[in-house]
Amino acid sequence: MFRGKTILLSSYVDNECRKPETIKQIIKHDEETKSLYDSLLRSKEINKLSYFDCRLSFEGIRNGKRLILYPILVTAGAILFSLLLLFPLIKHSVTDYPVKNEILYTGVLK
Amino acid sequence: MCYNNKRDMDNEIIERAKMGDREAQKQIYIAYKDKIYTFCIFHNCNFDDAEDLTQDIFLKIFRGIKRFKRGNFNGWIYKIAINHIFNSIKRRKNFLKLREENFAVKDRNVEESIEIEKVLRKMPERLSLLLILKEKEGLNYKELSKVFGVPIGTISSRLAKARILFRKYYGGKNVQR
Repeated sequence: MFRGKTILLSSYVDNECRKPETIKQIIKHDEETKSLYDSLLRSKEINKLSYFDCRLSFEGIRNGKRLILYPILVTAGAILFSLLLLFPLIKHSVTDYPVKNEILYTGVLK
Repeated sequence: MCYNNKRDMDNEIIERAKMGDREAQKQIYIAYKDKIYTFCIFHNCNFDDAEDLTQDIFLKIFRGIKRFKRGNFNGWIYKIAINHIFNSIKRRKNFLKLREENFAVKDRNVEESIEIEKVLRKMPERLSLLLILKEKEGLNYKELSKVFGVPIGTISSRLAKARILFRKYYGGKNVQR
């Protein structure tokens, strides 16, 4: 009952109830309802709240942390490019010593 | 209806912003940045994180503005902001900690405002945001129901609960209408 009454009074505070005149009369004549209504009205104090000042500029929102992908792509590209450059060197590299079966483990056993 | 249409953004600016006009987007940014930043601070408790969050929200707004059809622009912006804030809260739930030092804002001397901030921080996130959007931004129940994605009845009961909590934590004088 109390909760229903609170909801009704709260919607009266917001001018959103269906029968405002009836509620107005109840508030006028019932002390308990009036005190509840007054306590609900305290929420109006929120209007004294001042917003924080956001220092972020409009231009700044274009270059946000979303661009973290960009350095990753550049690094990946650089690694790929260097691998492509080094690939012919790796491919044509020749060992200094001849690889023969004799020096393998099986050859030693024989 | 207590909602004041003058608070809504000019249609011409919205249309220009839809076409990608940076100047129009800047006007929207200036009109809403402090509000959204404050919402983020209330629910993130860190100025740097709040700035990141504000930036993300505006990137989302400017990416999605083409999809906005005629209607309540205020409501549309707050819906994006609140969804994003709540999603980020879900992701960062374990890292959220209230920090006393953030309560006192150095460049503001308004004691009452700081007192109200403290009270709002004590309240559950959904209730404090709901109360700010109702009392300070003047959104009506229908708009609030769209912003929070809940029926009007739920908005009405949550507002009553929020008011009772606000009354409980706030020791100010009674306000006469």
